[in-house]
Amino acid sequence: MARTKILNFLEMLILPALILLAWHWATTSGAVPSIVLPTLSAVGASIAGQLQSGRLQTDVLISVSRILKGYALAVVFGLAFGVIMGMNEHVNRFFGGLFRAIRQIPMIAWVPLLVMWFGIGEESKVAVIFLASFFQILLNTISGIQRTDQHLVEVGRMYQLSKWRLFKEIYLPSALTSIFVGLKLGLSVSWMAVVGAEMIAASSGIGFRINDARALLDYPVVFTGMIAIAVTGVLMDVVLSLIAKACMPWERGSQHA
Amino acid sequence: MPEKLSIQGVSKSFATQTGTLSVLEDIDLDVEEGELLVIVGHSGCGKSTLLKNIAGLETPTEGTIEVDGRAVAGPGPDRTMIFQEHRLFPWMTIIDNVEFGLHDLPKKERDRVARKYLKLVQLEDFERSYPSQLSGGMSQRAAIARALATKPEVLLLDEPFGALDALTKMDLQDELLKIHEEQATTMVMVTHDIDEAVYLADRIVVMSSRPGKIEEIVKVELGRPRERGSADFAYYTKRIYSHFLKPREKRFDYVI
Repeated sequence: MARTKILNFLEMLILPALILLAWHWATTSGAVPSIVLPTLSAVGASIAGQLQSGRLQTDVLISVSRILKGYALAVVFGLAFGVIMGMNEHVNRFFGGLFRAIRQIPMIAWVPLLVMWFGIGEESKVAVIFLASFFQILLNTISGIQRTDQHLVEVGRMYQLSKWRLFKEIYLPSALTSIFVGLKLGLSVSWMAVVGAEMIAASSGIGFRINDARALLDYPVVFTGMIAIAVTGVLMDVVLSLIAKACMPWERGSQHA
Repeated sequence: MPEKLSIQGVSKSFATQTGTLSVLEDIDLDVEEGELLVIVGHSGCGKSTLLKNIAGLETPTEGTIEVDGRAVAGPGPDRTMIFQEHRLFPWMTIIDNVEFGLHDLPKKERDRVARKYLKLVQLEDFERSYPSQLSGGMSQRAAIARALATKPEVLLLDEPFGALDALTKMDLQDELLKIHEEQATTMVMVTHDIDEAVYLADRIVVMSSRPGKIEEIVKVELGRPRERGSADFAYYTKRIYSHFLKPREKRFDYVI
């Protein structure tokens, strides 16, 4: 069991290792000029240096703390609206049309407006993150609630459950899988959104760092930033997966995203 | 014996795109206290609809249904239903599932009652398992325990063993008879398995389809346990089958 797990993990590392090898070969053999693609050792030195000075951690922490604010808001509003819209079709129709239209607007298109409203400080980033993740959480919550097996609801009605208990004991647990899909999508979208917003208008954070380094033609720092984004994103996803597992003990053993 | 359940002039129709579809037509039926009544008919003959009306999950278009002389106006604790699918909640352990209908009791009492019924259906070692970890037969046993735990006076069974393999089915039929004997619950069961009907029933109601009407009520005068291979058993199965087998045209074989 433990052995197959390790083997499975190693299997995932084959492709990244091959890419690193190719990268190393391309840069050291002179096939690609180092201005286009920095050498592995330069990126490694940049990571080590930024870690030592604490700059990388600060950049990532700033971006992550922005996420936590915007994401927390999106979770609260997304779940609340999602549950009410899922449980009541009138409310669903009332908000549904507008939400569907707003959803079509890509995140980047919001940035100019949000910067005008909130400036380039924290508020505009939080607003971007909120908008990015709110709809993911909302839609998955609605569909989770609506896809509840009506046969199970019928059992609840047979035992004369109140509306609240029907929700708490049947609709909510049934929707949890879908809700966590929304939470995960929302988190990954908001991570992308914050980095994007920081690249367009910010004076701190990992996205700002990448843009800043690009202007200075400091490509090892650009790569460091990209790697940090990928690693942080994966870590956040893992944390959410662990929370999901803890919330849904009955899913243990069966594979799911 | 006094009648437990009384169905008088019940009809049920649904509005469809092409007009109204009459599912049940003028059903009159009395079920005695402690009786095991089995309704057989084609799928779609409205027998499940009849059960749902008794359960109070649907309301008849016409007619009344009474339990102990009180008209049924919705679901109530005196009636529970077991469905073809076990309908256990996947997110609850088996014991929580069995306790589902007992929400008014304190936790300790709930556990005690649930354990009693889990023992009755031989699942006492699985109370902490989730439904996904159980076989089909075990899940249906758990569903039976859940239905019995609230001590219903009338137990409604909608093709409860229809999705099980033949051997598991026979086991559960025997268990159901044992429970029926011990608890003396009035049971109304719907099935399309004629052998099952003859094996279990005190009386068999044969229903025709579209619209669902009662064709015949057959009292099964056989002692228990019943022997499936016996001539008496065959007499009853043949009698029920005769409702469903259309007389075939005689075919001639030409041998030249």
